[in-house]
Amino acid sequence: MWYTELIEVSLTRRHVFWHSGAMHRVDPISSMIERSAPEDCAVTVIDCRRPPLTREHDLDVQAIAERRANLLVLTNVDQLLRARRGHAWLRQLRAPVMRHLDEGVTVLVASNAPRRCFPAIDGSSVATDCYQYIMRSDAHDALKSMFLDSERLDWPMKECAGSRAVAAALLGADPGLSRRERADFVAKELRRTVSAALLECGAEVLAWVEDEFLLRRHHSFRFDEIPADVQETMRSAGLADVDAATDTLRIFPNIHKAAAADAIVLANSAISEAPDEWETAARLLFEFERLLRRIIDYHVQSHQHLRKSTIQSYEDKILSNYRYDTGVNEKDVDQVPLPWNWVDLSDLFSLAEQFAMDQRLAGLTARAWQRAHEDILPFRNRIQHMRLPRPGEIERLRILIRELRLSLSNDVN
Amino acid sequence: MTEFLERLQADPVVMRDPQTLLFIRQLQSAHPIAAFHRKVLKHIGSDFTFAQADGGDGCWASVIELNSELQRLFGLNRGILAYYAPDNDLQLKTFERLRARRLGRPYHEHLYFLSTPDVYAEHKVSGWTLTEPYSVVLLPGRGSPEAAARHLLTEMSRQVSRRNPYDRTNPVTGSEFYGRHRLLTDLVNDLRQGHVCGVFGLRKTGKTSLVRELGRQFVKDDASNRVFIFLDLEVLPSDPDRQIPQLVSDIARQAHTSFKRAGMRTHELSRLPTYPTVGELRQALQACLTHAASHDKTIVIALDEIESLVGPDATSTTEKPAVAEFLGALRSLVQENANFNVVISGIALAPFTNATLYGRENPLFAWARPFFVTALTRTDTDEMIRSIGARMAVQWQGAALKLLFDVTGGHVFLARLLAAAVSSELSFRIEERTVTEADVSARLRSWRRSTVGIIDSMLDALARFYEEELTIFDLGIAGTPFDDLEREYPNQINNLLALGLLEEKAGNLQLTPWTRLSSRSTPLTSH
Repeated sequence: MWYTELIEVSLTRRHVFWHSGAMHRVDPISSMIERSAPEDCAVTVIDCRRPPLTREHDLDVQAIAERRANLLVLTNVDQLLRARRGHAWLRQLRAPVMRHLDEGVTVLVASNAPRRCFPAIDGSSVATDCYQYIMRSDAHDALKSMFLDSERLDWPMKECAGSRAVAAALLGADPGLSRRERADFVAKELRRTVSAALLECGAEVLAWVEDEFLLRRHHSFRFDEIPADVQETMRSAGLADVDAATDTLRIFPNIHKAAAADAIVLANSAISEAPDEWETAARLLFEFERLLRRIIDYHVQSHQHLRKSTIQSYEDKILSNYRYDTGVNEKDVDQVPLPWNWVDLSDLFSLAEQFAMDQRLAGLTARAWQRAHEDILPFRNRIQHMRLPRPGEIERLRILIRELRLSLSNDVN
Repeated sequence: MTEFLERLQADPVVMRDPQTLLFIRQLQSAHPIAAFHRKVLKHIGSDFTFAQADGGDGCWASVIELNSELQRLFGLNRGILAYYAPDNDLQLKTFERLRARRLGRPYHEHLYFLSTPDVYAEHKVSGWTLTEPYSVVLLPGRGSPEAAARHLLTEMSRQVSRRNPYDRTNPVTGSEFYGRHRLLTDLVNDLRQGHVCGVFGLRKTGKTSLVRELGRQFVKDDASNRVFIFLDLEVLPSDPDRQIPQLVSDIARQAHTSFKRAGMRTHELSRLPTYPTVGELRQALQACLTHAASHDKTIVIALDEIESLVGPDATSTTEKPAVAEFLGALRSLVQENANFNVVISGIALAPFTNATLYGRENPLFAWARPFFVTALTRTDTDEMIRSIGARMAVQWQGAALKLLFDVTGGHVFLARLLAAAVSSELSFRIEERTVTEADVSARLRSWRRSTVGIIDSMLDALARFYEEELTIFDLGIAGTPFDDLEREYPNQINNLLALGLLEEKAGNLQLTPWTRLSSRSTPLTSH
């Protein structure tokens, strides 16, 4: 059985979140879970791709609460993150889940997306405020428990890289394949499964893996070197493990490095539409740059001696950017409407650092503006060139914007 | 172990009642293995204290009283029911049937002993313990009595630990609810005086448990005259226009059921349509509350998770004007009826502090008294951890409790999570189930790794309703002294203190222990 330990841990811990990522997922997942449960354990599965709904398209809370089971399994819960009313359904799900838990029913929440993808909500989250089961890459043990003949088991045992999904695919392969065909089959399955697992982890984690594994060729990390949510996601996805002896995180521990690199490239090339994280980054960068222009403009306008000199010091750049963008051959900077719109972000940062030398600007010291400069500019350039945001960059920008807004609102008050 | 067994034998349970001894002998004739069990029990200072044939099918029910030291270790205060079933193929339904029969003796309902000749019993019992809300321990039938006694104690530890009682994500009340006595007393007093109460706190601080416990205690004091109606607003429809009609309908239905049970007038409520208007509900409740049959009754309605109704957009949009109408109706009912009151709970103070709600005057503005739910005290945390641990035969050394409190600051959810992580690593040998400071210390790193996501999301959730407070919190983490920030932002710092994110120590403001565990407090290295 593929999921014996998962079921055992769920029945022990009672409310469990499982990242049912591509490396671990053997379809059809519902029946695979049901088959792994003990004989006397009544399992009820609710597939969140088709949750029970009322006529008004709300979650049918009553119907869920009335399902009888020892183990209630919610599969594909990540679908609620994408459905139009999904966030409301996640909220509505809490009451029936709590009722089941009150009655001693075990609740297993299975999501193809990791825990980091679930938003921080107001109340308790049925998806994330519980024990997280991190599945080990031990498909070999699951295979051994299946009592198949050794001839059939040898190949998957050797080549599955600990992944249940790959093992299941190899078990289902044509036994008549030649040695070469078998090698191709394994390579293709691994590449497909690992890249799917990476895509499920989200754009930021994929960007981190690209940076560290492909560009810097790092395979093992101290825990304090990695953002907490990244290491948790990589482990829960079956793409990393902990080396207990050195207390380090190893990525792609069971996969040939060239195969892992192929999978990363495949995952990256599969992204042709802007991921949510990229859209958020672009929106926040827009907001930040507009805010920064306003801050600079306000400061200049309120300091008589800066009005003329500041614009003049950027005259050439303003005029050149203006001409390039509009095609209007303007020669007088005073005739350029909204001149700050034609100043580069790096120059705006330099001005902010300069203005903050003697007195905080929008609540930030010159040192803080310099740090923001160092952080934001490369981030903006990456987003501008359609690359993916790295973990923590969006949150850091969000914090910075909040700090500026707080300072501005305080000035108004 | 030998020393431990000797200690148990030094204080044995002694059964002297001749009638009971006769029944025990009869049990031994019907099930000769019981004689061996008695020898085993003697090695752990325990004995049968009751036995009787259970129906005519050869089953016997007995009660085993453990030695007082074992009772303490397993958190027991009465005997354990032991069944003797002759079935070679014992089924869960047979065991359930046995459980359903009542004995004239008190015994625990979460732990049972079982003796059966079924060779697959071990496998079956292991499955039941996973799926059923109780544990079953097979009485050993082989080996020397001493070895069997050791095996029995280890199996008891294993079975009671199958479900780690620290792992609890649903709200708790009654004996499961720990601490907050002062807060509960204040809330009950305020309700009695007719003040509307607001219970506020961050996610996972136990607001829902507190409100439910408040309801339980409120009703328990005078069950025939007190009605507590609890409404979880998280189940409200996603369509904003349907939220108030649904809530009004739910209140009407629940009030009808509860009033009827309390012997109050329900005529006006029973005549309401399925979806009454706010005005219709108000009139119906008013009629029922002022009726002579209601004069000695007190009714409280609790609205939990108020954010589901009053969002962060409450001051900036006019999307849901019915919200103000609904809250206004509640306010007028409270003002007009001394026997009616309301409790509101959630994260956001907005329903009580905003002058307007969805474009209307806020009827709750500056009217209700807010109470904040924060961490447990050291004493309450210790009591919770010790009491829950006793259910799985886990003891805690003082230094271990201190470290747990130092790390979690008494945050109830995090304290339970850490205790669950630590206790799950303990040996099943009963004399080795005492948690030391070193045990806690050894689990801290991996526990923080597995928990930091939850802690981060608790703080992230602040952004929706306490954006300025979160910004100031981040500024403080980034290096601006909180004492400096307090001069500029006194209200926000006050809220951070009330929410338990900051604490005042020796005149200085600092982060509370659990907030230091978040990844916000540790700069990310990727930039």
